[in-house]
Amino acid sequence: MAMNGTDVLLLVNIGTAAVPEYDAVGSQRDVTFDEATEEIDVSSKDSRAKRVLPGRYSSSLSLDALYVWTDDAYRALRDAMRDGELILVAREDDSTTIETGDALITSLSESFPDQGEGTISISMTIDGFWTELES
Amino acid sequence: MSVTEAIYDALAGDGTLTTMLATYGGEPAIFTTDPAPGDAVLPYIVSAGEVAQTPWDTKTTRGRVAIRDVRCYTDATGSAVVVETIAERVRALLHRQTLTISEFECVIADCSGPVAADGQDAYGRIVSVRLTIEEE
Repeated sequence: MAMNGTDVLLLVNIGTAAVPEYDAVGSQRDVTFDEATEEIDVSSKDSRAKRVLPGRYSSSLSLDALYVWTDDAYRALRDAMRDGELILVAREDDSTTIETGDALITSLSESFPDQGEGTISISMTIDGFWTELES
Repeated sequence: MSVTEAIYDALAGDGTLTTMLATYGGEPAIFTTDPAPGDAVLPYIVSAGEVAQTPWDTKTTRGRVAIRDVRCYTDATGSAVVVETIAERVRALLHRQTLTISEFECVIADCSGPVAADGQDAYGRIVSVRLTIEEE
């Protein structure tokens, strides 16, 4: 069944590593989850066909939201960026937290056009694999 | 949501504007019904209902962009000075201002106009107010 993108949210741990407390980044407009596997070419003269092996796996995500300076989740992301620390994030699908991952904030941009809404754009790279949660 | 109340309060609370308007029932002639009462005397202002409303939602919040026309009318005396002065004052009171709207936060308020809407018996100017508001 198709899904409304509204029902997929990025959550951020605003608790501790020992006792996570996930909070949705406020005023989210868009979140994109990317996964990629590098390709190792093992083709040879033995065959005209290209042969490949799976190489490095990576996952990243990007978030767009309104700028809400009082939002706890946003402040946690900004602190992680400034402190150069990983931050635990989670993906929520249809009100269910389905997986978590340690994220490195690779860019954080705030935009404030005249007579326009302030917005934020954040990019992250996941350290390792996502951890699927038991449902 | 009471955009009507917010705009009325902003206009009726300004002495510079109200001294340029007639009175109706002892109050400044600013009407939130359309048309204005038949026995209303010019100059007056009409602001009733949004001409457009669109969602201004995010995944976690709800909001709207509401556009409302504020129409200013004066007698057709051969000069548009009075109606233009009233309309400019309306614009000054609404453009880039933070209106107080119950249950909403006013994020952005901007105006376009005034534009002419002259008739045979009355001169008119329309100021269109675009309000970006978010539910509290």
